[in-house]
Amino acid sequence: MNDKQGPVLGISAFYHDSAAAIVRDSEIVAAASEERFTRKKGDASFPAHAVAYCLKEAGIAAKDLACVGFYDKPLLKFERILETYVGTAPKGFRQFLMAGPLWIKEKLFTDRQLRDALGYEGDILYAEHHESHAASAFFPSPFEEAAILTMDGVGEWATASYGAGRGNDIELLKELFWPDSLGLLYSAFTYYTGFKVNSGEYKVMGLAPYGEPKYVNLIYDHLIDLKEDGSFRLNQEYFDYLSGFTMTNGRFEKLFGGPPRVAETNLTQREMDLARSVQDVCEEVMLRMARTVHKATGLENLCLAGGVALNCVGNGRLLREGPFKRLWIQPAAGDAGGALGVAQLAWHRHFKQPRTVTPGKDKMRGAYLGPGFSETETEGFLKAVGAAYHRLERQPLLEATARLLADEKIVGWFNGRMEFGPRALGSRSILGDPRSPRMQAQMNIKIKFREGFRPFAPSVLRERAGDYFEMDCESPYMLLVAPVKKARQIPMTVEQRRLWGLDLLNQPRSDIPAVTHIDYSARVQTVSRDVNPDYYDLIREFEKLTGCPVVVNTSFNVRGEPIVCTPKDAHTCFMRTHIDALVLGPFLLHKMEQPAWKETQNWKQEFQLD
Amino acid sequence: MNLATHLLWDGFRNPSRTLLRHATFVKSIRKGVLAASQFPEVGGQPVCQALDEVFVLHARPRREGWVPKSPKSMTAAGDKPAATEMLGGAVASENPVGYRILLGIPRRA
Repeated sequence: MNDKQGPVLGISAFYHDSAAAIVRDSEIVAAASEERFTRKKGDASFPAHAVAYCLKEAGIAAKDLACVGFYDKPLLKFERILETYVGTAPKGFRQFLMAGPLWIKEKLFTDRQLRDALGYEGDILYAEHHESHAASAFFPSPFEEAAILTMDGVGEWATASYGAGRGNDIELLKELFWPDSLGLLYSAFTYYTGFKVNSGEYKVMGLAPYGEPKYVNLIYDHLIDLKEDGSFRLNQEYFDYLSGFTMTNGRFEKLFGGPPRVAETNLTQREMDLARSVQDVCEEVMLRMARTVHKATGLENLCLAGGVALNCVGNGRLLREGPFKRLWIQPAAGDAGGALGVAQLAWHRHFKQPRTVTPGKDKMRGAYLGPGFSETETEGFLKAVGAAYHRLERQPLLEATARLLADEKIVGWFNGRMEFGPRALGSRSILGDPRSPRMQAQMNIKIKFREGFRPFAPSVLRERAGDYFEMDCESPYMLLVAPVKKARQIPMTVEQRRLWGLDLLNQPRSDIPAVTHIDYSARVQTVSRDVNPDYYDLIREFEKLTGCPVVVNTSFNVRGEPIVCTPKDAHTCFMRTHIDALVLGPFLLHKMEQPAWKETQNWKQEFQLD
Repeated sequence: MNLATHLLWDGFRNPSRTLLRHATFVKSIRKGVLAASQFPEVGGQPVCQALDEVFVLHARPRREGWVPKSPKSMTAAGDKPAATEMLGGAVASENPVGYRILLGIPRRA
């Protein structure tokens, strides 16, 4: 094959969230993150397993590829790193001693690494980091033309960019440059509030509603000089990421009155106020950027990607208060999505292949682009581990699962192909009853083994979303936060109004308390039958039993663990936790019927806490 | 501002820092070149002939605000990126500091 109409493989690797994706005939055939296979969260190594899976799914070998695309330009990145060392020398010398040899010996030779790993001799193309993000945002979107905004920590030099996509090409117009980065500002507060950078940002976002924006003025006065057009300058006197091993420095600590919170220690009101403050600033920057992009492009649709686009609270505000009529966000908005972006960029730009658009329907196939497992494979596994299971036809299985949920049981739901991106969307999910006032605490503590303040998200039937949430558009990838309908909210009593911080937890806020955050918001996933018929019909069965077309949907994993990929991963997670039942394709497993689970080691030490 | 003026100005403002900065920098470059020379043959060429991808290392002024994007680019392996691309969209004349160091990096294999 190996001609210009052949499939294209995209790869992102060597920084964080390595991934692979394959595009053929303008369709996304497969996409997956390496962490799901290696079981190492945020795995940055060459995505050998993800590549192997993508090639297998496409039914081809590496030699059949028309080209391989890499999601950024290592030489430009190295240039930025070198110049940063030079600019901050001698301060960053220790950092240089650590990173320099790795770059000079390995990372600069990405080409050779890719060829060796793939056994591939064809063309390798390199796109810029933010071009890859932009491509992943626009090409799969349901828009013929749209403005594009990308925001993340940093790529080569750019930390944000905007432009427009039309037909089968994209054009980026302007960029913001390192070290002025919205993603890194947010990460600095993630570090300072005691969470892990590159994975704890969504915890800061979840913590924000518990706090007051007490530090907003301090942030504007000292850390960020925000311009009307959304560009900004970060005052590097308060940050350490240019030359040190931490995000913030002593001056930052002095400004906010103390050292960073030590991970896993108790959260105080201070961390909540800091989270709320940086979230407010982040939203303001996003809004100003969006207005600038709208003014520059004059377009009505906006596509978003880059790690900051996973800030669904900010996305919700963009939709409600921003200048654009419609928003589409790449579900794998982080670096993993770069693999998909570069593959599509090669397909459309390099090979000049046309792009077709179906209005109202994107090309992501619900993000169900990962591995799926046949009934034979699944049953073979269940037999091998001696699990007790029942095989049910589709309708009885849906009814039985809905009944379990209505009885406040927690169900592991493993169905179809795995999701691409950080969200579980009803393929690798743990489900519960949103009406239960106990469900949030139970799922956080007994199932996920994670912080009690973390909110859960609702999956709602698309056509019923408007009955429960203040939103009139689709949110299939759980990337928009919207308020719960006023009529469903339970107003706070006088006593509750006096509560602060985590004392606000466990106070029912609506008739779906398990998915209503303390500020009456919810991170909504709308479910359509044409995208995921099994999941849709399950929620429908639950609605028949309860009158409620909503279920709690959280990712199928425990804290620090990548979302489950295989039936084995799912079964292990099911047996290790207090999940009551597991649906593995057509098989239903009840916990009480299972043989005793034995492990020689403490499994909780298997995953590094995120 | 040329190199001499820059060094004088920087040295006047903070002599010890300037000395350390430039000493470290020179050491880093030496280290980089030494590391590069560990590959006597790259892509079938002696490394001295393979040094055709050259970093132009600037003491670049911080670029603030929305900066126009350089022309769209997607490079194939072995292509020598255009100068503007190598510099992330900046052109040499935008560098008022005036010193630039050439650091040879072996051609990608």
